[in-house]
Amino acid sequence: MSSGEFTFDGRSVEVQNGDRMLDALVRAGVHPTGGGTLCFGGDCANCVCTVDGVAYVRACQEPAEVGVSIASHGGGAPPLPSVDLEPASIRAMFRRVDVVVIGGGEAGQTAFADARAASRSVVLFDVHAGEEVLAVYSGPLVLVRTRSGIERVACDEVIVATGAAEIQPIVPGSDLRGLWTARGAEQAQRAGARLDALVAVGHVPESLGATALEGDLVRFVDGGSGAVAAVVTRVGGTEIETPCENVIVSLGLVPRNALARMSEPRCTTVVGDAAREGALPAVPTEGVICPCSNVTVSQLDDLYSRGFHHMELLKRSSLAGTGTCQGSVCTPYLRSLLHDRGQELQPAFTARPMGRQATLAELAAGSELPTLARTALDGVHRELGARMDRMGGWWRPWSYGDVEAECGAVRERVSIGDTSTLGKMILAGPDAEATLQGLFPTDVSTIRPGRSRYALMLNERGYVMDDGMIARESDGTFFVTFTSSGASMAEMWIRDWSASWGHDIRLLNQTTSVGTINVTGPQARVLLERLTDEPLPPFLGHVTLTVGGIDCKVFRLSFTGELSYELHHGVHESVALWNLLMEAGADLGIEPHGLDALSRLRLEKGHIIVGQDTDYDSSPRRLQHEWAVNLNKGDFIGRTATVRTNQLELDKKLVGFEADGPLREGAVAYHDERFAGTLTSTTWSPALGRWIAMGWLQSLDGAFPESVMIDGVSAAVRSTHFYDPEGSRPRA
Amino acid sequence: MLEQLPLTRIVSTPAALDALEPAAGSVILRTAPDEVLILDPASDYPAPVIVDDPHAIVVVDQGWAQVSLTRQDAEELLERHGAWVLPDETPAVAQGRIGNAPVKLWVEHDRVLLLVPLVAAHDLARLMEPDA
Repeated sequence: MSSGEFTFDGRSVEVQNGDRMLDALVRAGVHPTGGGTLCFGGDCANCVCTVDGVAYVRACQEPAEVGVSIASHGGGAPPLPSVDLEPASIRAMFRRVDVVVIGGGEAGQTAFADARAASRSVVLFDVHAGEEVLAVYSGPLVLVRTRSGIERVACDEVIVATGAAEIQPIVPGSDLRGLWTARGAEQAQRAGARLDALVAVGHVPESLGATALEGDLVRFVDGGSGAVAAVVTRVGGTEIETPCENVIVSLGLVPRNALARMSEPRCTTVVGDAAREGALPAVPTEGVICPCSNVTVSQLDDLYSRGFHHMELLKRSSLAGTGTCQGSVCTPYLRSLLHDRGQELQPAFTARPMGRQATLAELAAGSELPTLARTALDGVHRELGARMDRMGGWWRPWSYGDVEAECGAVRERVSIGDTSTLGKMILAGPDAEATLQGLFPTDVSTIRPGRSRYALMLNERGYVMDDGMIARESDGTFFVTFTSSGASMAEMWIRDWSASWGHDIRLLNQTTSVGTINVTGPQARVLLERLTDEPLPPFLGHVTLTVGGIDCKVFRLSFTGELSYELHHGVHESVALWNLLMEAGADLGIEPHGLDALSRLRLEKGHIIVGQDTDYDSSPRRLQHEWAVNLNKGDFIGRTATVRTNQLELDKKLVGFEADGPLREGAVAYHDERFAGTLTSTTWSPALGRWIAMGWLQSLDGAFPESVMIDGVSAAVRSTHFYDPEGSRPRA
Repeated sequence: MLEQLPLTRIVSTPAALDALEPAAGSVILRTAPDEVLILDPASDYPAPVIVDDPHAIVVVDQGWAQVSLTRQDAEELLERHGAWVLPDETPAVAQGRIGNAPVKLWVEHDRVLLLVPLVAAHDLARLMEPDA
């Protein structure tokens, strides 16, 4: 009974209750792809089409819905979706069971019942119930397209009960209209399609009403309109051409076991027809053997002659089996061909996810956007109108609107910045000092309680991985900082090495629990003395005191090049501390500074940012940070490599550049038209009134150039310490 | 929904942590062989603890947020945004990611206490919205 219509390439097609899309199409005399054997089993690519903008839909598997718009792929790749396609959101679900059964036939139902009887939690997915398994990943993890979204099901065992597929004909003319497998013809007739002038090759049920032909299939003959007009069979040595309008081809069954070949064997069971031995079709002699990838017999013979004798190699070299049907059609023929050419009969090649086409929305279902950490001051920055940016896994304030004013506040008055993203760890225990001595090239034993020191962290090859400060709190307790993006890696590095050394340590990563506000500028001390009566620490010292009644660990160090104090505190008091500082510093002209200002200020001072100014092969010597390495203190990670590479001629180094014209990050420097380096950090320096940069300079003919050309601008090579090279301001 | 929760965080030897006894009303979450979180969901400040380890690191950690969920709500949250399930045996500690937010769970028979670092609480709260 008619329930309505859908359209196919603009033409109305009547839909009856219970139809799948292909039922309605063949009843209307429409072939979705224009030609090729129709199997109705979801095994080939001969009925894929685009449904409401979604390509690669198998019309034989999908219920026919009234009102949808179906379009043919046009014989090639499907059309690109229109740009105004509504973004789709697919619900993702996850669950865990003991057993997943794939296939709702008799074998699947039996497996399901057996698992239940054994008190195992089990779920069955049946494509005819709208549950299509797209892939089986290691785990196993089964990915299923259902009518309510994408399900990810973790399990201990996968039972594949997907039945068997009919072998499709691969002979000249097998891309014509009017060709059916036995099951396909049966379903087409059940759907009400008229299959006139019907003949059959191979054994088919009499109930289909086809005229049975003798002999082996040779080719189909095109009547001129893309539809079959005759079929040629061979009986003995004689070819017989039989006129017809429809041909049923029955060549045997092969196991439909791609999902089993995709799954880990140790946790996969194959039952029913999916476990049967596959029939071997006659070896094709000419024409296309893989319709999806358009691979011909002659191409395969050429590859075979060049030594590709294995199914896996033949697949990779020809791409047969990698197309829409993922080898369902061509695999029996590839096995047959290799066997015919003298190879042992080989199994089908490995299958890999995805087994079915999926939309981007389906692929994205269940994947989450990376969590970007927010400091406790995130809301404050946003209220102040800061432009927030993603840096090192955190949301950070890039600028509050006027970066030069922010720089000016730091250089001339006082400013505060949110540096809560710093990696922060407590290291304690009997072997805490020994662990740090082994990890860092500085002599940790000479850091006294209450003092701190800048330190590089090297890998075994002597290259810089991270940097930070080491502060000694007591004989056996240290507080160590790392870069914002390097903290997690540094924690693993410490744990791995201390464990391998058998050290007795305690390590606590406080990065997310301790906030940090940097108070910096010539008036920083004046500001803090308004909020505490306790003495502030000397340069590179640290003390614990209260600032405005808030417990703080105060470190005196400087990244900006000015007098600076880092106030470390519990994150629950970050907002209160920020507000106290802003209020107390109002008459001093206090302003907050963002990351843009901080980056410019530290560049003026010549402080590196690991990851920006360093590369994968940046040794302390190339960075001109040899002052941070003590080769006399005993062994440490990277020492052997450092000693060895120190004997080599220095081939490049990190230097400063000055120019009157603009310099941009990443720009290439040339000397006498030869490559001389690249810029890693650049800025207009308000304090110096010119463009400055940090970057790598190559040695040319054994000497480092003293000037370079960058984007047509002449730049002088100089020290990275542009601002206050004596370091008097942070020590003030 | 998510509320800030002070807790005591202890890093020590496994033996010293094995010997810890929870104060009345407090819960000890063993999150690693060398680490525990001690919390009292009903208290604004965690009770002091004594650890038999002179080198133990003991801090009051204010960097966490908590929410108490029914087991069903927790299971639904994990179904939508996790790739793991709650342990069947309770009480138990479970750890993993919801979305990409790292969480620690104290799973009881019919309730689940969820802990998340404050830095990730904003993203987790978004994922906990019904239509997320």
